[in-house]
Amino acid sequence: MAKHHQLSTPTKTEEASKSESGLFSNYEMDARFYDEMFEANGQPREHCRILWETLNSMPIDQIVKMQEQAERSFLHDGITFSVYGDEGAQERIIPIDFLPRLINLNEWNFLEKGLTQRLKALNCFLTDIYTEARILSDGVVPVDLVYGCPHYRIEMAGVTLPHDVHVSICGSDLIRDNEGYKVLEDNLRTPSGVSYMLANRKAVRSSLRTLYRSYSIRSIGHYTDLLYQSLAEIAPSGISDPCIVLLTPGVYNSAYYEHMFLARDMGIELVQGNDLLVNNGYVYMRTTQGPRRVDVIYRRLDDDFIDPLVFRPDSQLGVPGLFHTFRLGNVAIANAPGTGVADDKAVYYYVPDMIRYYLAEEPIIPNVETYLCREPEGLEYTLDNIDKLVVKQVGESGGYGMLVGPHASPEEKASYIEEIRSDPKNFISQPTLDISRSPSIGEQGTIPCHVDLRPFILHGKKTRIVPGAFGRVALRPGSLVVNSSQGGGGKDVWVLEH
Amino acid sequence: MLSRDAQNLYWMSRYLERAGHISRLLVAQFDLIHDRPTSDIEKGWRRIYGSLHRKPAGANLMSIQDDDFIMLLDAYTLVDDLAFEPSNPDAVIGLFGKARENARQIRNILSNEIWSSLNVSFLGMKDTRLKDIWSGQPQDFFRSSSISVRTFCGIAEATMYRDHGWHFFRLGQLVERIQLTCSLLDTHLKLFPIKEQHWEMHWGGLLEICVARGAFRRLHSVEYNPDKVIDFLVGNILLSNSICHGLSEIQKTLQIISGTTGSRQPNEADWYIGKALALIEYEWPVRDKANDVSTLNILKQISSEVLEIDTQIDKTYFNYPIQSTSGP
Repeated sequence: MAKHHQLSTPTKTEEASKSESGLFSNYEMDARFYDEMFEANGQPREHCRILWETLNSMPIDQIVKMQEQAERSFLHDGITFSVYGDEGAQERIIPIDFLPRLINLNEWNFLEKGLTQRLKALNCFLTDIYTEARILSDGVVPVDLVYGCPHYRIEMAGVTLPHDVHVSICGSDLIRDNEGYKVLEDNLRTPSGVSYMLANRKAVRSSLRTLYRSYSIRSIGHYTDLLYQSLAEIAPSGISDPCIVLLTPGVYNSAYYEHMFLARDMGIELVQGNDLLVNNGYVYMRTTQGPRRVDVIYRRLDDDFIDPLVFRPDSQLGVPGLFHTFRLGNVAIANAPGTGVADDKAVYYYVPDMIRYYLAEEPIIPNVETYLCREPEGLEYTLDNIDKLVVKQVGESGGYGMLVGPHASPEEKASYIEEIRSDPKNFISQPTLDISRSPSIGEQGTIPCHVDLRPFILHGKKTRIVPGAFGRVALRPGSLVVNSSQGGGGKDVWVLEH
Repeated sequence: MLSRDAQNLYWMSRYLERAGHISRLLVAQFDLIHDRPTSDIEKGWRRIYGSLHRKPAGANLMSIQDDDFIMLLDAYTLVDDLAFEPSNPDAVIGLFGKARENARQIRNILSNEIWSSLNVSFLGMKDTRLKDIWSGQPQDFFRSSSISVRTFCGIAEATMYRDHGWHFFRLGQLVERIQLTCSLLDTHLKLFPIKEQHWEMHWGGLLEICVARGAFRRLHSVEYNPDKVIDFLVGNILLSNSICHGLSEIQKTLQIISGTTGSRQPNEADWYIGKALALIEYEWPVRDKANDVSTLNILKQISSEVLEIDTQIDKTYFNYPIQSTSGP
């Protein structure tokens, strides 16, 4: 059993073994969890051997110092996210765990195929439900699940988009257990984290440069080039050199650094709602040289706020008339409004069915086993097994609003059961996952921490994926939650050329 | 360039210019505190508060009328008010914070070097309290914040792309500098009329605040003749901090901006800058030097024209009404 990350449900036979010398001398394995660096016998995996040897020859103080330096440089460079509490907004860095996670080329090729397949099916689904809705009439996905989803936008009905692209930017969260990779969720509205992926790479590469050079690692530095290309491809027809802008809610948004970073790296304007206006069916931005027409908006605010004339009337962040202009086809919005219906946690259950329905293929990367409380069997199973399950509200994200059964107190469980009974449609449950672990720097050496991956999948005329991901790690002892708002950190992910 | 970005650049440089100016006012005041009798120290405080059109937070609480707070409040309270008081919109720390907020809004158009320079300065001072530095060399803190502003401007000069952003950054700096200098000279002349004899430190200190002491000495040696000091700060075109130089730079900058704006209406700011420059060129040299009122009147007019320029910049480039899609 791991020394520092005990889980409170030691239900399986524990087969602990230790890796060998140096930095890893106190690193404890647990057979329940796939280890990203070590085989079950404690030996480093073949593709991790150089990493293991190099790190073993480094004093821990040196690595801790590098980590601290990197975090200090994040603070100075403003690579932060905002957290709101009783004392107002605080700028925090996402702690970096300096030990990279390595993925070999075969694994990556598998993931790339699976993610491409998944996004293709999700875009088909969104095109379908806002036009013919065949998947609903054929009974593959329940009608009430889609039309009753708060993220389904009736206003999108009948809207056709260039190349049928509803989702241009997708961030899918992947985990691995002893059975292999699984998709935990898809983020199809305004997925974030890509700037931290790039910042982590820069920091780790410059500090561990000798190690970095000893591997052939695929580059991720061209992410913003691909993003720009994907956005340009969804511009209204007839526009060869579109004016693209990034629409941010402003500096108080938790992901503002990322908005700024992406706009700067793509060389596009970072606009707020009050910089834009609609006139004669087109969108313009206010510049020092007069109004300039805008063709593509990469929006980083939720549907609710993009147009007060159509969605929330009290929104100060959006642009009155924007949605009408979008419907006319005079401006593209990425991701399109209404994509949230496809990343709803209950709709997620049907993604494998969507792949079979639209693509006539078997899903390459499976979902995590999921029980829908809207179904009587799912509800019964969830209530009977709440001790073993993670229960989530379908509309929440970021690790909020969920109950981790094995860790919850009897009072918390009782209260949650009440909530489930009163509105079962709002809940799903999943088994407590044996999420894989990877070494992280602890006080006395390395410790195993649970990790996940968020690769970013782009889609314009075709699908593009940079070989890498925002690696997240649950740094809080005992935690399975990797979200940065709840004690998670970032981890560089190296996709190897060979 | 996005109007909001231009506006943020303009105000970022205004706030920093102001922070640097107030820091230098405080450094000069510490020189007085160390060396001069109480009456000079008191006049030094009056010069600061008069030129900033401010009363310390404590004065209002104590219902102190007029300028009597100077006599009643100690140096610690006054420095705290000018540098750290959260309710003071022009406290040095607050100004750095505002400039940084402006910079955060436009980080996508700032170089990393510019952002880091400002961010590191701010992070280094944001948790400082006067009690932490008072027992040591508090003036070093203000000297350092003034240098931070200069360093920042140097980095901006070296790294900023010369598009509209750069020109609005320069405009903010120049407009703020002229307004602060006019106000400082106005207060200074009222406290130290030219006809009266004053210890030269007051005039040397004035030059120091305006970062002009070294240049003045090279031109006029060590004699701080008040007439010459005033002339130097207002009318010397070669002095980068003089009013004359600032107005001339504003004119050039506005011409560059309006020259690249195609179908825009004639720029009203050009008209006001012309008026201000005419005052310097035609009225300043023939003013009655024996009569401070004449000098003060010209300074007041210049300040008023610069205020109009600020209004026109806002109306023309930041918050213009949009009539049609063809342009304002």
